[in-house]
Amino acid sequence: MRISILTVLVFISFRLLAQDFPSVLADKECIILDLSGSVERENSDLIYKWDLGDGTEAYGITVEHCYDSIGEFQASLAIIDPISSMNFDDEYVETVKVLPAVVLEITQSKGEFGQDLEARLTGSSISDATFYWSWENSHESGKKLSGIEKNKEVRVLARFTFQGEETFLSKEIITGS
Amino acid sequence: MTMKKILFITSLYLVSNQLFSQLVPSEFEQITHLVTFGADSKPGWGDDDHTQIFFFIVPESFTKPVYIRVFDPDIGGQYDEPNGEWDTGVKFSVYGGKGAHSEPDAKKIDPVGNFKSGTLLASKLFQSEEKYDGKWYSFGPFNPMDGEEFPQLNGRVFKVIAEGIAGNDGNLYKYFLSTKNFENKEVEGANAFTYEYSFRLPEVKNSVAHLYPFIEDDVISITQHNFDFDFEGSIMIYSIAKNRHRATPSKNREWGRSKHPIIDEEKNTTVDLQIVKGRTSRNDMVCYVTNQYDEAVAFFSVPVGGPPKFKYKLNVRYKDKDNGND
Repeated sequence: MRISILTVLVFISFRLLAQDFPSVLADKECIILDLSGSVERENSDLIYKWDLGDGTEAYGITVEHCYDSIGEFQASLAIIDPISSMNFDDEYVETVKVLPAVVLEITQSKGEFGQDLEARLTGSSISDATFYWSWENSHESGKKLSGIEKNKEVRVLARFTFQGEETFLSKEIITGS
Repeated sequence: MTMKKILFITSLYLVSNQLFSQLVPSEFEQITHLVTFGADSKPGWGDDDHTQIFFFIVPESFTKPVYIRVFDPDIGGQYDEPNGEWDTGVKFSVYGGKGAHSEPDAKKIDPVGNFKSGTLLASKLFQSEEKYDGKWYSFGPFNPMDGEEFPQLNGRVFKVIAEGIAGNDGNLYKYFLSTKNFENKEVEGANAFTYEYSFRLPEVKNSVAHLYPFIEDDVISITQHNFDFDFEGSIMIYSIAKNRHRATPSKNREWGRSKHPIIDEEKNTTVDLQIVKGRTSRNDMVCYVTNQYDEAVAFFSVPVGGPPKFKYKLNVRYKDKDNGND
């Protein structure tokens, strides 16, 4: 369904259209590594140090950390004896997976009047999704966009409700690429 | 001991010893030398009884002659610990035959009673002698059949006693069970053990020495005893179920002791007694471990079943970034 730019502006401000959003939403990027099952009174004074695999370190029997990106991280445990200052490195390695919760994708196909585009959100707990397209000085809303010339920079902004909260993702492509 | 238990220990033993040599102290232990001081030395030098008893196990299947070789058996020159003039004599004696190990006094911590049990096969007194300084001396050849039968480990046992006879210097030495007289060539599947270990720690700060007592299935607790560590660092118990539990270190000329429960998971496994140096120094000390019956537990040079690896119990949970809920 094609609607006018005025209608679009009712739903969303220029500020949002221009604002940068990621194209992937991470859900479980924050983790708790809990070693308390491995620690007893006799070794509770050792220092437990985690290299969390993204350049950060954390200390403690239980540590919390939020990753900034999607991917797999090797969290490595070292133990330090405070009496001798001895380091026992690579005691244990845990692979932490930060998976995408919602991904915004654009698929292209060759249509009768140019490139046809379709936006799609994949993930769970998504509702009320609306897509706003912008290219050159044009704007449109809807899941699909048809008849766009090749080599145009097109951006789609997805507004949706994720786990009860209003959320935005955006993605850009060059048509025909 | 039941047949099932004998077979279990034997199978662990064979698995662990297929590839490793019989240098004592072994590479696993990261210990510099064995140490025996002269009878006139004071305990503050790090030897409580001036005697060290080691047992070598030759697999039943091995039938060729064996040699027990001693590195730097003299007391003087390189490696050894001087205390004034070199005036110390240390006697090495090799025993086999019935009672060499099975005699209860042979397995005690202190050299009392009939600890020289079995048949004396060879003996030599060493003093400050340049021709033995930094060199290997070989006892043997010994017919493996001259060792005492030890079915639990599917082999035959020879006993070597190093006794500080006179003087107050420290003899630092190593052993090797060899198939050759003039070189160290390992006896495949052999091992060595002791019930009380007198040794020199590595000198550098942060080094870790390891002792490997094997925990049999009737053990419910162990007590570690260490002498003259001078509070130089940490002593920790490491096993598949203990991740460096603190053990009590000793002061100068004193014993440190601590008791540690053994859980079912640790039975029939090797425990790693880790001695962590907190500073760079020369330090000689003594360790032994007893079970709940106050019986000494054997330290194996090559850990039976391999060095233990602690099984971490890590709970990984995802957390909500904003509201902190797990």
